[in-house]
Amino acid sequence: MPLGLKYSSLVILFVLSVAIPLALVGIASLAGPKRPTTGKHTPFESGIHPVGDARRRFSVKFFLVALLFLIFDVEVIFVFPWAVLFRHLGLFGFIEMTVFLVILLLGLFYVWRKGALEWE
Amino acid sequence: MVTIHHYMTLSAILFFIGVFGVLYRRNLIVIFMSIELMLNAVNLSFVTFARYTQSMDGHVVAFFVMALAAAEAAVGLAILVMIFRNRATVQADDLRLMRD
Amino acid sequence: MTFPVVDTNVLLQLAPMLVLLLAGLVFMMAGAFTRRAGAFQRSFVIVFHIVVLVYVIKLWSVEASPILNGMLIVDRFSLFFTALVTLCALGTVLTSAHYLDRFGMNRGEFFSMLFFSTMGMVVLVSALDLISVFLGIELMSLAIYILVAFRRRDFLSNEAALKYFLIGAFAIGFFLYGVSLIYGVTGSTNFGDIAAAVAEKGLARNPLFLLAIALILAGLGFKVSSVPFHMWTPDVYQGAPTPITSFMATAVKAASFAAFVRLFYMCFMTSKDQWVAIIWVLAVVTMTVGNVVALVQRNIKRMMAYSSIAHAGYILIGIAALSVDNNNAASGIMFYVVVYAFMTLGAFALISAIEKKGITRGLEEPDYSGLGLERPFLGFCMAAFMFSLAGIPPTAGFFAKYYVFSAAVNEGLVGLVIIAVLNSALSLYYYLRVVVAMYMQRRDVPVPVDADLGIRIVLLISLLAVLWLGFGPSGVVPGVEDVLEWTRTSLAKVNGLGM
Repeated sequence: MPLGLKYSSLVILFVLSVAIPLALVGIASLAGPKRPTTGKHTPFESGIHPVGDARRRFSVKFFLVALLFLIFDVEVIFVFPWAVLFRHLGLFGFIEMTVFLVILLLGLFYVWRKGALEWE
Repeated sequence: MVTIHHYMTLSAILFFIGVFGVLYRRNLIVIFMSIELMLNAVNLSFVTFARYTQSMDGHVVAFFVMALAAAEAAVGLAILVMIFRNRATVQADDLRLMRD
Repeated sequence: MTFPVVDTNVLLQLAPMLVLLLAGLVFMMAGAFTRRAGAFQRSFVIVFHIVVLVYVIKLWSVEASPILNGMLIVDRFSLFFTALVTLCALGTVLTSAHYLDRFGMNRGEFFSMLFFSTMGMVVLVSALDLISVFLGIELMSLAIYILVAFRRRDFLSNEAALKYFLIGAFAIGFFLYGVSLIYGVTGSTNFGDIAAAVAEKGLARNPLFLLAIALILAGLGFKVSSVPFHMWTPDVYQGAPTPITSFMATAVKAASFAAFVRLFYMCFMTSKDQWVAIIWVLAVVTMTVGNVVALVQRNIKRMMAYSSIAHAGYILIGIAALSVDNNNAASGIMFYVVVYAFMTLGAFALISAIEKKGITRGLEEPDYSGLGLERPFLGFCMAAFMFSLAGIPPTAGFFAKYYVFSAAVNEGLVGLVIIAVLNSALSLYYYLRVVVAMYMQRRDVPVPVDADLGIRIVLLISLLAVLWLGFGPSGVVPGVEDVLEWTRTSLAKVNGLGM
């Protein structure tokens, strides 16, 4: 089978997945009735009246959470290759990964002891 | 046909967008993002060469670069948070206490 | 399933790194459980350093071969620098005892970061692969960014950390881009394979390969603070806690130059006629800018920063003089780095002792004037370090310069050496100004100096080293000849010249 045909289903899926939402939005805007009111123009915010500007400053606490997430999230990329080759690497790989995770856990423990996981 | 040259050109363009971002933007967070862009351009280049030379080394380097970029981002954000707490600014121009 | 056999020989060779890792983790936990690191904790810091040094001595006679699939090699070259950076870290710890209490940063994390950073340096000096160079630089630098920021409430410390971080991360980007190009051109990141590929495919003049060398040079140039990549140095040196400034000026510089020498020696020597002109120019502008700007500095830490830039310039002369035929230049660089480490550790130990709170931090000229008359020992030490930094015989600084410069003359770089000698003469002015302030000026209120036992030990050892490595014969205490002999045997394996 030529390479082009092999992936043709993927291409069709891709085209459809772009076309269908476009078509839905298009039909709605063409066929739907337009009766604008102030209520419809305000952004939806969980049923609460929107207050202030959306581009306001976040609490600096979010940054702390974000950076903790960042480290522990990205270190997982070292677990993926190990998981794929788990049987091949055997016990040695398991011990190596355990050492890695223990060091990571010590870091988590440190963060916990320092109270960085508490919001207030 | 997409060749290695296309990838290399893309990687070089991304890298230099990052470089100019670091040199010309004044918001520290944006400078920070520009540095991350540089590292991602490098990653693209590594993966391209790995594919081109049919060796695994480049993929492995990309993993290390990602992990260390995250560690770097964490340290950088921590420094930024510390500065923001003390000075309430993230503009590079406000941080000029030391001069010759 | 068979139980995996861990090669004990490999573990032994990794022991210095593993001890440093363990120490880093132990002190991180100590930081989590205690609010202040007392004398008990600090004595353990010293014990860990001594264990590393013992392993270095034990490994010195072990036959080295690449370990971990050619990622690292623990040969005499790496052991030499491992010992040096460990001694620098030890000097930093001894210097910092009272300092940390005075500025409210006496915590386990300080030592933890110091250990992690030292571990990064050990990885860096043992690297036999560009990936491990990258990992070493990052591990070293990440910990140092934190150490620079350790005075959390201090604006200068904050700013210094930010500048060092941004520029360091920027530089690592260039370095990595260079690495990726080298990988693309040669198909490997291993030093040996790169050298083989360059010889086999005739890449010595390949433009992409040369571009890669330039990018790597830029990345390493930031770390050793060579002009034009030096902008961060004065601000970071000024803003960082003084013991950390001392650590950066000595250990970071030594480790970076170690990687520099090994990389250029093993991989880039065949292209030398292509890059030697660049290094020539870098060396000239680095020492000239360093010395000229140092002339007008009022703050002693900034002055030392520019002095450190100038010294990077002198060491770059050694890089320009690297030769495939002999190891004179490389051994000169190693000797220079050792001597520079001692005189800088000593000078910064004294600066730590006089530092106070406040915006100038008590580091301007009036703050140490009359010191030599009030505290003869401290004044004498500082004067010796300043003379040595200026390169006046019979101090070690003179001989360090002599070995590097004579290697350069033998390589035909006479013009470069003439410029360097003129620069040394220029540098005399600002080094002597410190001595003049200490001995010729008086002040009514005596200088408050907090020279505790640790600082006095560092001062004494540095003073002895600065004098002994100048003219001291070998004997019970290693002399110049011993150190040079160590450097030569260390390099024999790196360069492949059997000595």
